[in-house]
Amino acid sequence: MQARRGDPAVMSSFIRATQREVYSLCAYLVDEDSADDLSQETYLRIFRALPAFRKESSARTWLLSITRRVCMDELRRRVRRRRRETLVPEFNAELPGLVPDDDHAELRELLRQLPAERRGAFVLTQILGLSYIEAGDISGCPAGTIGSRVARARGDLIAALERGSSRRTEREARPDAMD
Amino acid sequence: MRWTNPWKRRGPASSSEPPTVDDACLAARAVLSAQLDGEPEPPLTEEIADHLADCPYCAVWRESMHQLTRRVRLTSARALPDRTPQLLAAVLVDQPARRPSRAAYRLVRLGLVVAAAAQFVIIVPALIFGDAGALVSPHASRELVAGWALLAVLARGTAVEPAGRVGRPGRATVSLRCGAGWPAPLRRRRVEPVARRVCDSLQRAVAACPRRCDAAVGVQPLDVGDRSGGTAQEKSTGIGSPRPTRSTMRE
Repeated sequence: MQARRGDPAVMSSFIRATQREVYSLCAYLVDEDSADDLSQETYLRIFRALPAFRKESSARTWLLSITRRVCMDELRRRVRRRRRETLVPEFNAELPGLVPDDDHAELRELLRQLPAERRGAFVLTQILGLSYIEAGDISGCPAGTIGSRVARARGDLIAALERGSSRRTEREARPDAMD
Repeated sequence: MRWTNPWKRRGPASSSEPPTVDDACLAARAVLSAQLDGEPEPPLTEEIADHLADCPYCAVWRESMHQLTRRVRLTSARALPDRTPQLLAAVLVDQPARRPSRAAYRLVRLGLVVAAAAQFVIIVPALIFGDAGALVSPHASRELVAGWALLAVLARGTAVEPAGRVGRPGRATVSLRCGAGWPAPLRRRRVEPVARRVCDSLQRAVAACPRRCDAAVGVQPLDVGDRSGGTAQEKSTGIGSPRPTRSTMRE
């Protein structure tokens, strides 16, 4: 609330305290390459809207709901762009070939395969550690819906990991068969 | 962290792939997921508890879920570079020019209140007691009252939206008239026409003020012209008759 007064020192400490969650949410909901730009866009919107913040929700929930809105806007923009550019291959078409070694990148790629709503619920609750109620406030839906989305996201991720594990096992078994 | 497939370790030997889940499995897994997150919903009913006890696939899924959650929490916790300076610079560039502080506004308002109080102290004795004990003449005090009242109404009307919205002219530029810029609730309650009438009366009062004052002190108005009527008393006393011209004065 002190950041409302426009004091650069207070604004700086506010950004320092919150940037990690904002960046993570942007990176997981959209992608890591855009996370910097999306974080910046989020803070611009936050400081423009700060005078209107009425403490009806916690500052963290308010901040993350704006972050989520920025990410959803970006995803919608990308969908529109993809519809226009018909020559660009399908969004998911590139995923099966991409199995990076880095655990973090692999997790990101797995999350990218989830539908946006499930991905949002999963990131908010499992990576940012919010409760279902807080995640529901941010996403604009009841806590029960968040629970259902998280469970389904878990199911999707488990299935994807099992498919990846099976493929890896087959790849490892193939040289033996050649011998 | 490598994914170890619990299904292959514990699943039925007849199938290497997990089966398609049905509604009962989905409901049971929602409960398992919420329990793992420490959330109260959805409640664990007897039906779901029975399913969890009997379904080997959901038991495997529970193990997979624990493994996935552990993996996600370990993987996602990583250090990020501090981008505060860049973000702050972007925000500061985007911020509008600083407005005067609330203290400055209060100071200006206090100054206006003091000025108004001083005017009140000067004007009211002249209006009540006339020339006796007044700091200014009754004529000047009436002019001041009417003038300030009119100025207050006009200022209120134009100060509601002085700059105008983006792309539209401000009201200050288009409507320097009484009643302009009254808020919508006042317009709905038909206050605006009344205010406009009051304002017109004030304007007429200001316009008529010099004539009345002249009459009060016995000076003939300038513009009576062809209105040559008047009572005998007026004619005899000179009140109401045309102001003497230079030629008549010479006579």
